[in-house]
Amino acid sequence: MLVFTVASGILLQTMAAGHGLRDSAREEWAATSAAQNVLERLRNEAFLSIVPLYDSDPHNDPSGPGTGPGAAFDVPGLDPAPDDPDGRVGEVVLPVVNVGDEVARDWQVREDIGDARLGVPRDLSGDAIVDARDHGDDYAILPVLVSVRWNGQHGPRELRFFTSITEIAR
Amino acid sequence: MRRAIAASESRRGAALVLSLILVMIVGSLGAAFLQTTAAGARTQTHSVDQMQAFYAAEAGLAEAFLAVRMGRSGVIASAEEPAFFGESLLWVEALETGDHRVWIRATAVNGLARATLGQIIEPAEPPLGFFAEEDIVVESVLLIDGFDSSERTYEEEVDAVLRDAGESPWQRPSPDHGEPAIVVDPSSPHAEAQRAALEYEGIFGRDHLRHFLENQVEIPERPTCVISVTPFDPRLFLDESAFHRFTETIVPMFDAHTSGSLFPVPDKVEEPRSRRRSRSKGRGLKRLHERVTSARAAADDRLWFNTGKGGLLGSNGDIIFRNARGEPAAVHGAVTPGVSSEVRNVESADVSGPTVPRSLPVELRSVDVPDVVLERPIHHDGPIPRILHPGATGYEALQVGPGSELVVRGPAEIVVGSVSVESGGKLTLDTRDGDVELFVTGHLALANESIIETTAERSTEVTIQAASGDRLTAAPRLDLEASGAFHGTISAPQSIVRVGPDFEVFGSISARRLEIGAGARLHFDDETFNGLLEVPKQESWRIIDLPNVGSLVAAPAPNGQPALAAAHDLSGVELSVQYIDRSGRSHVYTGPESAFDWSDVAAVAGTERKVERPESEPGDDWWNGWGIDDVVRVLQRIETRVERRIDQHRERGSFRGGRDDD
Amino acid sequence: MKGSHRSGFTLLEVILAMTLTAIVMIKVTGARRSATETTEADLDRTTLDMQARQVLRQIGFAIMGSHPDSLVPDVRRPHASSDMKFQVSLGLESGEVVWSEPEKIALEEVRRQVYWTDNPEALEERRVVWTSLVAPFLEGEIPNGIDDNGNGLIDEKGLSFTIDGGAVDMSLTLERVRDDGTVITSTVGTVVTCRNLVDGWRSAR
Repeated sequence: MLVFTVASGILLQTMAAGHGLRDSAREEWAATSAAQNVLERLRNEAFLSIVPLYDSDPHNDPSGPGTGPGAAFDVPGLDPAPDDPDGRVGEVVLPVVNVGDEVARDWQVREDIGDARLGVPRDLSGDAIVDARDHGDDYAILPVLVSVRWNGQHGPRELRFFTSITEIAR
Repeated sequence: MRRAIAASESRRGAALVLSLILVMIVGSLGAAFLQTTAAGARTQTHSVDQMQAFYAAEAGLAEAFLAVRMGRSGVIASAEEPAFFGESLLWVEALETGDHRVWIRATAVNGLARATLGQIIEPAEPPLGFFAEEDIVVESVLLIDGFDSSERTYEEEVDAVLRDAGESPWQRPSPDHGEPAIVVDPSSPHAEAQRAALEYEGIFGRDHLRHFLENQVEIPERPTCVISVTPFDPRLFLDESAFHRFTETIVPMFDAHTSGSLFPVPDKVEEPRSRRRSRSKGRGLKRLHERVTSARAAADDRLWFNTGKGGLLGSNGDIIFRNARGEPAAVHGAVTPGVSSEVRNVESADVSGPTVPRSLPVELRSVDVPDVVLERPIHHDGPIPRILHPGATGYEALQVGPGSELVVRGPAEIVVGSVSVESGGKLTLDTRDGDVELFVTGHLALANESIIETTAERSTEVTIQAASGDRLTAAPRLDLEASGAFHGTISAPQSIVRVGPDFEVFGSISARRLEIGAGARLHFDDETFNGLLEVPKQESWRIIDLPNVGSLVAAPAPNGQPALAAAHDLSGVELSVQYIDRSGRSHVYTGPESAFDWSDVAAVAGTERKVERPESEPGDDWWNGWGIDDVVRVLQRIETRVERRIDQHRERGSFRGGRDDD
Repeated sequence: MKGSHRSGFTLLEVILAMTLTAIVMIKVTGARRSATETTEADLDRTTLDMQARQVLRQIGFAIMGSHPDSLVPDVRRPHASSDMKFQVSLGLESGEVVWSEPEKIALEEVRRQVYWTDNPEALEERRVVWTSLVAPFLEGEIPNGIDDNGNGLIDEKGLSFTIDGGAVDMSLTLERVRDDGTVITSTVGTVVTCRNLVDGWRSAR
């Protein structure tokens, strides 16, 4: 009976683990799918509108303040990680930094400072030099990171999708 | 006792067997379940890796696309020494085909997945401004400046310059040679300044002089006096010695004006002048002559007002200024002679930019004339405008008589044997609905007193390309003596192009020989070019390889590889750059880009690159690694797997739903 | 010799052993049946999920290589189409972009299949079934002229496409009825942007 109990326990544990794997796969699919949707929609925008639409500043949205999708997004079925600062699982990271302060914010596309995961410092305007100007009007390439971080079955999970977008002529 | 032990051992054996059976049953069930779910999880992991690799490969394409736009090869890292971006390793291959297309192939690996994407692009040519293969001789007054129509029109650019100088846009004073307003008071301490001002009022006009003193003179610390020659340039009215004398009177005149002793009676404020553009819409042909005169007046005006920057005059030979008429040629920008050539007599001209020879010879791209059947010539001679409708057509000749108008309506691609617009005739290139491309294989003659009109805002909307129809015929000549504003580009690599004084160009011209008439005004459209070419045209994008099955061995994680942006292959890239370093000193570098340190560059004044790409035709395996047929095959395999599972269910009698047809 | 009469098992021992064995066997069989049923349900769900995701991704990759002007029908929200015709760029030949023959991905409603064809409506049409088990309508939707599942589309089928500029929204629901009568569904959705934007797209036909 003891052996039977142990064996049954192992079976149940295995099945639970299997369930966990399947749930993890579902979560990963939801995260991947959401990130893909953001990347594809972002690519569908006019090149120089991508930053104002997808940065954290709602005031520079081309169609009026707050009309752009912004830098954060939700993913149905995924809960934010407990330590998530904005409580939203999805985030679009661009080479944009706030060079102002918390009150008077000044978001700029910068080559010299920013998120190292995007390869910054690097030339963004195509003149081969890295300077300290705002390149919001003349960036020629835009590295993008779409990150989805959620509270998974076995603790916080994160998937990151990196790409770069450039302007193309038809 | 031994028997008891034996019996006990025997019972323990039975329990062991029973336990083993139980464990085997439970274990096999668990293993099967775990195997299936793990397979699903592995598929999902591969699926995530695949998307990460796919988007990383797109980053590779974007990086190579930018590299080509910068004049580099587009090759980035290699399979042996890949670069990293995000969490992927990647590399980009590029080759150039005979038709100047660049084929790019980016491969990224991430975990168990791999993605290879392809792109074919047509890079733009480096802007040459006003360029001739042969020597350029400038014998008279001339204005060359620049603007960028992608940012604003020429007029808006001039407005901005005026605004920066403190003048209201287009409230520009015209030369006023009427009654002098300056009165010389011998008892005034500013009497000498008043005399000088009276003299220069007669030369420049009162308003120009006043504008100059108010907006273009700055005295930071006496006796230092800083004057600006933009937007009003006194040197256009004064020879060198007279200008020198003028500069000596500036400070006294400035003081006199500041004290209110120069212009005691305030001038009447002029009404803003409407924007004059040489093309004037909606006017009748009967007023052609009036319009030519008006265009000339406007042109004279524009010689004094300019953007003050961005001009580009270049050659593969020498550029010679011959100041025969005593009026200087004004080039607000660079004058670039050919390799080992020079700009001669530059002191007789007013050149604001560098005059250093180019480091790399320019190879003008030949013109490929489309192969179309030419229709009979059109000779239009009548009051009603003749319209050539959009589309691709060809004519043996187009001839426009006096008082007649021919309208080419875009989008149009027209091959024409010869074009002749006689005096009083008009040629309109209407790009409101699409670009106009004109290929000329014979003489293009826009006669003096004829009118050219383009509706284009950007020079890319109109292109005139000239080349002989066959190798035996001489290249056609282009005589552009018409009046009007031409917004477009002219490419005639084998031709002689003559630009008359009233043919105002907003765009660029490249020719074998360039003859520039007195008083010509050439505004280079692309003045912000700073080593970055026009956005290349993407001809094709394709998934070359995107395996649905993960590889058995995971790709290594990025570890010490160079970043994607720092892994451009610069071998074979010749660089010529004028720059200011971080300590503020100007430099010129010419040599391989791989040997140049960009980190010391604070600002760039001009960049040229020449690149040697491997030239070959891509093989099938290079471009067609993966296609829709492969998708079909993969999906058929999946379909087969699902069918097999359904069949297994059927055999067991457990299948009730799903496909009810087969 | 004292122990010789103790060889073998007493009747009680045999009955006890047999009873225990029977109980164990019944338990094991029950556990096995239960585990098998659970496993099969999970396997079915996992397989359906995998298939839906795989097929949708392949549809996305196929449409990604197309020109937005080649997409037919040009259907916009709140309407959706259960088929999409498109042409993909194959490369360059003699300086001209080569486009594929029109391809179509569509739902065959009677057979509940998603199929791909490279010559729709032609005699030589080549049709390949990409998946079966497609639900008649997207999960949560019924044919009543309103948007039941709150995705902004009205009466969309089990495979649905909508066009948004150069992007294509697509959704797929696969559905299976298990032998115990339970219905398992898997619904997936994605959006892709057409990458081939060259001007002057001309249909291969």
